[in-house]
This record gives sequence, structure tokens and C-alpha cells, in this order.
Amino acid sequence: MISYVIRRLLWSLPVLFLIVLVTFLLAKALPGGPFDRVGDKSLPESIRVAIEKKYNLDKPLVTQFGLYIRDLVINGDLGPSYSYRNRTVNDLISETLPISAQIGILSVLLGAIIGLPAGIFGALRRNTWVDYLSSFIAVLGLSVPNLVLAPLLIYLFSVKLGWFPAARWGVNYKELYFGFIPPMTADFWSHAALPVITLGTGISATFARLSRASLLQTIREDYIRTARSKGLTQTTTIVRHALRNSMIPVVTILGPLLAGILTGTFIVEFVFGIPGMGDFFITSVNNRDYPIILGSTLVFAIFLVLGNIMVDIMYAWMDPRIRFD
Amino acid sequence: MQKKRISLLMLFLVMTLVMAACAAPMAAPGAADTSSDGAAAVASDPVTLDINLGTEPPSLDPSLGTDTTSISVINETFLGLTELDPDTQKAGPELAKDWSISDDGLTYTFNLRTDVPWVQVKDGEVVETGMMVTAGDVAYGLKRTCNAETASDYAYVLYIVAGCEAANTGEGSVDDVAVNAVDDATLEITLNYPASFFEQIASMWIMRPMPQSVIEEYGDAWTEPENIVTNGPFALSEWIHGDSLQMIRNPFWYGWEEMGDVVGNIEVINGVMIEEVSTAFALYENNEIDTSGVPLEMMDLALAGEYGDEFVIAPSNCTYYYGFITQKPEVSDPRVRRALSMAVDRQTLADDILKGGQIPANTFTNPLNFGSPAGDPDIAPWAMTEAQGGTGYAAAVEMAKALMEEAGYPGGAGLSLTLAHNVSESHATIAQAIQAMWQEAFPDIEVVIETQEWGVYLDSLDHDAPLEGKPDVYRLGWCQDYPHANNWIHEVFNPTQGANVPMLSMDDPIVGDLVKQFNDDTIAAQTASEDEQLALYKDAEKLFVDDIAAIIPIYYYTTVAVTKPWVTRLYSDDKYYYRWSVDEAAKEAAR
Amino acid sequence: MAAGALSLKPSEDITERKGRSPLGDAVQQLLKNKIAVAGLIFIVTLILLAIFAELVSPHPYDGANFKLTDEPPMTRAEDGRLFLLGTDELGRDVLSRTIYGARISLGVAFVASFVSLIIGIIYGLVSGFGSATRDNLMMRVVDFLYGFPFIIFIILVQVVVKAYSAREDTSGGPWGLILHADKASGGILIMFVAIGLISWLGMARITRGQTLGYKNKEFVEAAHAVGNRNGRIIWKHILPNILGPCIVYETLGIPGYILTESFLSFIGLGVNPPTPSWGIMISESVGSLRTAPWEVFVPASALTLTVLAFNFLGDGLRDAFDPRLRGES
Repeated sequence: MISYVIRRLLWSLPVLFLIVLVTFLLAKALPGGPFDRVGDKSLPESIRVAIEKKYNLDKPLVTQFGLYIRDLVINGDLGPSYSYRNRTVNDLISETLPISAQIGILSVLLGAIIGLPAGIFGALRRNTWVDYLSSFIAVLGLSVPNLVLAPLLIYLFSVKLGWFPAARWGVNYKELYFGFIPPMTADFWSHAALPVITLGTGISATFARLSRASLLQTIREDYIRTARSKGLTQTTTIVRHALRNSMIPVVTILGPLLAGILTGTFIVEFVFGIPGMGDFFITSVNNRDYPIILGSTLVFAIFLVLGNIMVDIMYAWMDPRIRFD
Repeated sequence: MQKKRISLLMLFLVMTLVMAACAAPMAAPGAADTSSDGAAAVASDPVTLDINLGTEPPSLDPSLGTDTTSISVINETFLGLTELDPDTQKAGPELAKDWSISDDGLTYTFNLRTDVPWVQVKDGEVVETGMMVTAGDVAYGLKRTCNAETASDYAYVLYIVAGCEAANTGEGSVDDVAVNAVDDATLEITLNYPASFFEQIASMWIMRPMPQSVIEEYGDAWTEPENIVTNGPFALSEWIHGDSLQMIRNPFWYGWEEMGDVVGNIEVINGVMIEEVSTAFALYENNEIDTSGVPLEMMDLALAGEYGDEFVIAPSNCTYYYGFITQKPEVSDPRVRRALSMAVDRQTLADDILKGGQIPANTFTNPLNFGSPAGDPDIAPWAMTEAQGGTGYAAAVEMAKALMEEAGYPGGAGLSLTLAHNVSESHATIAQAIQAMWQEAFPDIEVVIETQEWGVYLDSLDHDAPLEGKPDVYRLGWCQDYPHANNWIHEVFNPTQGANVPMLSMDDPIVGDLVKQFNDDTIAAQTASEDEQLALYKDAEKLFVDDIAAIIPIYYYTTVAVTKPWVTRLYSDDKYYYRWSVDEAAKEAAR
Repeated sequence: MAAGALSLKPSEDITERKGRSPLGDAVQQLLKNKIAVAGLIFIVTLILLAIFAELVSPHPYDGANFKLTDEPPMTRAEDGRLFLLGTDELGRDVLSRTIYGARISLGVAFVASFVSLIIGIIYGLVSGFGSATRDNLMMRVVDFLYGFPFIIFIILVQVVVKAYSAREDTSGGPWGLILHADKASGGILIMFVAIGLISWLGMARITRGQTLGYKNKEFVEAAHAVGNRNGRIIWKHILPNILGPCIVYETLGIPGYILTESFLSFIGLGVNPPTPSWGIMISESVGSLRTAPWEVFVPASALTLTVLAFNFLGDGLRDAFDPRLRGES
């Protein structure tokens, strides 16, 4: 197992390199540059040239990429930001990533707490009102866009009822333990409530649907029938045998889901005014802020690779027939 | 199985380590105890103004600021040589007590105050650094902006200072920029050509005094609150990137005593960074911020009096316009361009779509600038309502129809246009409204709207971009850098020296002569007397907007804001927070 | 399952269903499921509405009535025209725009899921069924594509298409035809394909995960043992088993595609105005939640109902195609 993990980690290095390389090339292929204009104003050619020189943008692409990789590998330096001129990408990511990750982790937890039981009960009570209700709610959760849900929640629970703050995140990056773990204050939880509910509903719906479908399938497997015929109770059978196996498809989506959600969700961050990575990334594409584009892509990719390795390990854990040799 | 679980645990550990590696060295939790929202206050709380900055300020470095958020903070923390009067936009004294201009109009001599200390924030208190602001600091700041190493976007505004352009392009030395600190209190600046608007440029953020020793010590990080040294009415005490920023009153600023009733009573300014206006508005309704913009959707309620006196519409120094790429065959005929401009019902757009009291525009230069002939019925009267002294829309449409027929497109038949705008909900709404207006006036016209991502859009408007990839009609806006027509009609549209996106050419077979006259007008205005400037700018605007019809001026911006009754404030574009007041008792009572 | 096919799977199904085609079975099974049929009927109705939008919608989707902006449902104009579900910020009929908007949302649902299903299943099967090395290599390619910021990809696609359509305005041929169709769809057809091209990755991972699960099952090993070729094993034994979860995943994906369209509209990479899509209608009017809620709720309800219908249909399909669930519901 250890050697498998190491092998996978080694494999991921060229993958990461390729991601950075291709993102770099595509970002450069986008029309427009970071210093063409200020607001609506076009900058005189001489200004653009002077600024681009400072950031090595006048050099050939190969040199630019080489310099980037050199700084990245030797110093772990993701470069300066072009749009936040006094900041480095390392700073920006270390400030925004923990916040996004907190929203993400809480949302996935909420999604699992609601979604998995809903899906499992739906499957066990197939075609009863429990099933229909949980299906209906799950689909509803999936199909109400966050763009509608977020302002609706703000209006109801903040403006009208005054239960939760309307916006922002309860802690900032200076208050985190180890630069990552938030202090669990009341302020933190009250600020977290609405954004996490917004994101969590969609995730719980995904979990519910997948776990229901998968459990239904597993229940019909022969070994479950065998278990039942051995005289085990329904509950024992489900818990001991069916559940674990039925979680494989759920786990499959967990990797990409985690990577996507840990590195920020643009709409929720935008509507709630939360300084996370999603917002930064979208803005950086618009600004042609290449170092931020590359930096956030790299972080996303690292999470994704780790997430997928984790998923494959969990496969093996849940289904002993899968081996990694 | 046990072994597998342990591996899993290790994997989590690895992930945590990766996260930790990305993380910055943290401050002790609890050290930043200034709670991120206005938590329960105690009786001895300072007078606090809570505002929404809108975005993270991209840079608080005066040489590098380009956007309104950054500049609004820079304005409070760094003093300018001159300061613009919020009402008249004329340059008055600030760091410079007074100034004189040489007879040839080229050399400005500023006499500076000597009682302005550099201050910084230590443990939540503003303290003096022991250094005073000198003419040398201003000279350093100006040269730093010109320096190619600094890579300032706005350096081009200072190209008017002799030697700045050469320093910026690397052809000359920074030492040769013609700014000279004669002594600590006297500063001499020499220009390339006489320009009455230089007093206004002298108020801009790019030529503020800057603390050389601090900048050299901390490099790019010098604008962080723990490093920065400032001299304005407020000092930066906290900056949580992307989330909030705090400024506290600088008691060593001379104005608090000297300026009497003009200054306000604010001791702390808390700025949050919420991009989405609807969310900011919700914060306002929850009494978490004292002032906010108003989302378009709430305008009907606001106009109906829902927010009473809290709701104010004030003019803003920006103009929204559509331009023509005059070399595209579809719009190469000035009659077509004029007809299209006439057929835009600006008042309806303002009343029914934008709802923010926007003013129909008949010129490019916003009325808040010196030299603007806005509202003059000699220029494009068809753009104005009868109440404004124009022809009104009904008459304008008739003229438009006649012109279109004359140009060979009766009812718009045979005319197929592409109208491009960059991505934005409000641009899209305006474009669809104008498309509908054109379709109404010219039933057979074909108008295709294209939305493009900002960078792609700007790239397609570039002079070097292929003509076939350009739209016939494009959208842009312009806001002042300094309130003078030169910053508008000349810098943006002069065919030989300006940006000239419409690609006006003196070789144009139909309007070439007019283009030449327009070109000469705005150049001549740069060195003319004030009276002559007014005449020249009027002539230039008439040529540009009416005769050549290179753009469709649509409306002059307004600022729409709601402000809590306990705040006394100004509504100008520049905020002048130091002049605002908060009735802290009333504010506490409301919370 | 064709009669006489050798299968050692000890399943009761085979003997019961000899002589009937799997497809016929599935259809029969599907028709028994009332709620799936309801979903199907809804979707078919919607498709018809979308196709015949010109005939059924009471008003045009474009134009503007400046005196009739933000009017609530059941507003009657002075000239007697009735706006059943109210008007939007430009005075256009919300109902008509919603009907036309179905074109975009259904378009993205079908095109993207078709592209993603085909590519994803083939890729996943080949990866999961192959040797460990091939599997590893193919999954790293998926990792690579996954890690990719798709917004940049979408912007680039948009730019390239625009550049081409500016240049090749008059040209015929298939490319010209595609560009023409793209223009007619408000510049979003190619975006559909692009969304599909991005979305097959999840499908591939699901398929591969499922394939891995079945690869070592007794009946597959048995099929190997009696000398079946890989292609036949995949087609006869693995595909029918994994198709269920794949279809469920795909119906789960459809809301994703429809929402991706609305997300792209929100950040401004969607259709060109005034072409309506539900996504753009929602993102344009979401601020009016408090003042003109119909502008949001009408397209949002249309979207929700559609997604609901796709899910019920998807469930029904899964049950119908999964041999082990037959006859039990």
C-alpha cells in the first residue's frame, strides 16, 4: 500500500507539471495582457512596455516559463501578482485557501450528514413516501441554483429574521491556528451558517442520489442475498455488507468534489463577500494575472491528485477485491 | 485492514502538511482582536464610520494605485500638493501653501508646509516617526512614479513633466526628471508645455510625497500596516486582505484644528470589502455599514421614498458612451452614425431602465470638468430633452429617419450592425434597450449584440487588431483622472495624440477636414488661455459628437447612495472622509 | 440476452426472459413506472415547446416595452395584450422568454450529456478493463484534464469561434454550417460541446470505478475462462451492469450542465443578448428577488421542474436497464 501511494505521488509530478505547462500556454493564448489597460483606459505603448519589462513579460515564452518553474521548484515561489501589485501569489493563496477550505469542508460534512441518511433510507424504503420525499428534496437541492438560493437565504434569515449575519466570514487568516484551523467561536459559526447551507444543499443532494442508486444496486447483489439467507437481520446485512460496498460511487466523486470545493466556489464567495480562492481565480482570469491563474490552478491540481489517490485507497478499503499491485 | 486505516490517516496528515506549507506564518490567534464586524460596543468607543470599500484595494502604493478603491484610501493617508475643491473641482492648497507659475507657464514653484510629520501606527496608536514631510519627499514620489522600475500604470499622466517620459521609457535617467527640491519647503517642477490643468494633476495620487527610507527597507511590502508610514488625515491601522481595512485618525495632521468646521469628527474608519451590491445593501439594512450603494432592483422602492432622506442621487464624473469604429463600412457614413445617435432615447433609458437619475449626455466631456460644454444646445441638441433645451426624442427620431433614408438605408433596410460590449449585466440591459430603440426607429435594421470577456473585448478594440474582428459599435465609459477637458476629449479621442479607438483619420473621404480641425482644436486648447479653451473645447465637442458623430454620448453617471441619518457626509466622487461626521450616540442607539 | 449465449452467471433472469430483446424489455419496464413516464411526458412537452416556440409563445422574446417594465403576472397592457407571468426589466414577456429559454437549457442538456456519455463510458471501460499500467496511464490523463481551469478553456473556445466566424462569414461547408448554427443559437452551440468535452471526465471515472468492481466478479472471470474475447465480455457482461449507474450519474449531471450554463451566463460567458436562456434570466434578475420575484421564480421553476423530470426519468431508465431490478417494483 505504501509503495502504491509513493508510486502514485511520483506519477502525479509529471501530471502537475503538464497542468502548469498547458495552463501557462493557454493563459498566454488568451487575447489581451495584464497591462494593456487601466479600467477603460488604454495605456500608451511605452507604459505597457516598461511594466512588462519589469515582470519579464518581454522575454520569450520559454524563458518566462523556465523562470517560473525555477522559482517554483527552488523557492516554492509562485511569483508576484500583477493585479495586486504589492502582493505575492504565495501570500494571496495562503490567505484565501484556508477560508475556502473551511467552507468546503463544512459543506461536504453537512452534505454527508444530510445526504447519506436520506439516500440510504430512500433505498431501504424504496417507492414509499419516504423515498419520494427524500428524492424530491434531493433533486430540489440540486436544481435550485446557488445564485438564487444564496440571496434568498440572506433575505430570509438575515434581513428579515436577523438570525445570521448577511455576509463575510467569521474569522480572518490572521486568527487561524497553524494558518488553517479556525477558532470555533460563535461568530465563526454564525457567519458560516448561510454559505455552508447554500453549498451543502447541493452536495447533500448529490450524496443522497448517488448513495440511493448505489445501495439499491448492492442490495440485489448475490452476497447480500446470501447474507440474508444466512438469517442475518436486514439491519445487520445493510450495515455489515451493503453499505460499505455501495459507497464506492459516492467516494468516486469525492475526489474531484473536494478539490473543487476546497479551492473555492465563486458564486458563494461572491454573493457572501467571503475572501476565498474562487473569487480570486475568476478575477485573475479576467485580469490576465498569469501568476495567480497558474498558482491557483496548481493548488487545485494538487488537491485533486491527492483527493483521487485517497479515493483509490478507499476503494481498496471498501472493496477488498480491488488490489493495487 | 488496520494497516490500511493507518495509511489513510497518513494521507490526511500529508494533506494537512501541504496546506500548512501553503499557509503564511500566522499571527497569534486572538492578537487581531479587532472583531471583523462591528461587535457590541462599549460606551467609550471611538467615533466610527463603517463603509463598504467594494473590493480589496489592489495597491495602496500611491505610484501604483489605479482604481477608485485604492485611491480613496490613498487620498486619506497621503496628502497631495494641491487638493481639489469638492464643489468647484478647482485646485486649492494642501501640502503646498501656495504656488507660482513662471511667465512662460513652464515652471511651477510650490511653497510647502513644514508642519506635516510622517506618522505610523504602533499598537493601535498613531505615533510620529520623527521625520517631517519635505519637498524632497514629493520629488522622490514624482520621480518614483516616472521610474520604469516602479512600473506605474499612470506614469503617462506625468509625461507632461520634463524628463518623465524619457525616464519611463528608459531613454533618460530618473535624475533628469525636472522636479527639484530647492529646500525642504520649496519645490520646482518644469513642464514640457504650459498647461493650466497641471494644478489639478498636482492633486493626483501619483505625485504624493512618499517615504523613501521605508520603501527601500521593505520593498513591495511597504504598504502593509506594520510597515507603512503616511502623512494624511488618517493612518492605516489594519488591513485584512480581501476582507476589511481599518484607518484611524492621525491626530498630528494639521487640518483637525486648522480647518475648523470643514473637518468632521471621525476617529475610526472600518471598510469591508463586499463586491455584490445587494449583499452590501443587506448589511446596510442590518445597520452593519453606515452607507451603501443601491442595487438597481431596489431603485424603484428607493425612488418611491422607501428610504426617505437616506437616499441621495449625486452627479459623478464619468460618461457612458457608444463609439463607432469609423473605418467599418457599415458606419463609415457620418449620416448613419448621427441617425443612430439620434435614435437613442436617453431620457427613457435613464428613467425606465437605469433609474438612477442619470443625465442624458450631449457631449463626451462630463459637466463636472473644466471646459465641458455639456448641455449647450449648439451641440447635438437632438440628444437632449426639451426641458434640457434640446429637440426632444420625438423630433430626433424623425430627423434620424430622414437621415437614414438620405444615407441610402430607408427604414434601416440593408444595414446590419454588430454592437459589442464587455460582460456585465447592466451593459447587456442597456445594449438590449438601445437595440430595441433602433429597431423601433428603423424597422428593417439588423443589430446583433455580442458580449465578450473584458480582456478579449479590449484586445479587439486595439488599434493593431484586425478590422474585420472589430464591432461596428462598441461600448466604453470614461471617468476623470483630473477634472479638465484635456483629460477627456484630448487624451481619449485626439486623432494624433489620444487613444482614438474610433480610428478617426484625417484621410477620411467624407469628414477628413473636420477630423483635422478637431485634432487642431484640442491640441491648441492645451496652451490656450481659459477663455480660449472654452471656445476650443466647445468647437471640438461639436465636431466630434455632432458633425463627425464618432461616438454616441449616452449619459453622465450618477452616484446613488443610501446613508444612515447619523452620518453627515459629502457626495462627491472623491470621498473626503475626513470631512464626514458621525453622531455616535444615535448610531449606538440604532444598533 | 440472446438465447444460447453462454453465461455462467447464476441468475434467475436469463431463463425467464429468453426470447425478448433487452430493449423491448426495458421499454416495457419503463412504461410501468408512472413517475418516470410523467418525467418523460414533461420532457417531451418541453422539447415540443422549445421547437415550436415561435407558435406557442404569446409574445416575442426580444424587443422592449419601456412603459411596461417589471410588471407583475396577469398584467394587461393598454392595447389588451396579456402578460400571464409578468414582464422583465425591459418590459418583455417572462413566459415567452422562458419558453424560448428552454431551447438553450435543453440544448445544453442533450448535447453536453451526449458528448460526455459517449466519451466517458468508452474511456472508462477501456481504462478500467485494461491492464494496471494502461489504467494508471489513462487515469493520470484524466487527472491532468481535471486539474485544468475550464474557464480558460471556455474563453478560448469562445475567442477562437468568434475569430473564425468573423473571418469566414460567407464560407459554406460543414464548418460554415456549424458557425451558422452557433450564431443562430446566440453563440452557444459550441459552448455546449465544450461543456460536454469537459464533463466526460467524471463519467470516465465512474465507469472505470464500476468496471474495476465487475472485472474481478465471478461471472466475468467465468466468461474469461470459457474463452470470451474482451470486447464481447465488455459488451455483454460489463456494459449492461454498469449502464445503470452511468445513466444515473448522467441524469445527475444534467442539472450540472444546465447550471453550468447559468454560471457561465453569470460570469458573462453565456448566450449573447437578447437570446434568452434560463440561466441568463435567473442571473439577470436574481437581485429582483424582493421586488419582482416572478422574474427569478419563473425561469428557476422551469429549471427545477426540468431537472426533476430528468431525474425521475433517469431513475426509471436505471430500473428498466438493470436486469436485477426487473419485476420488483
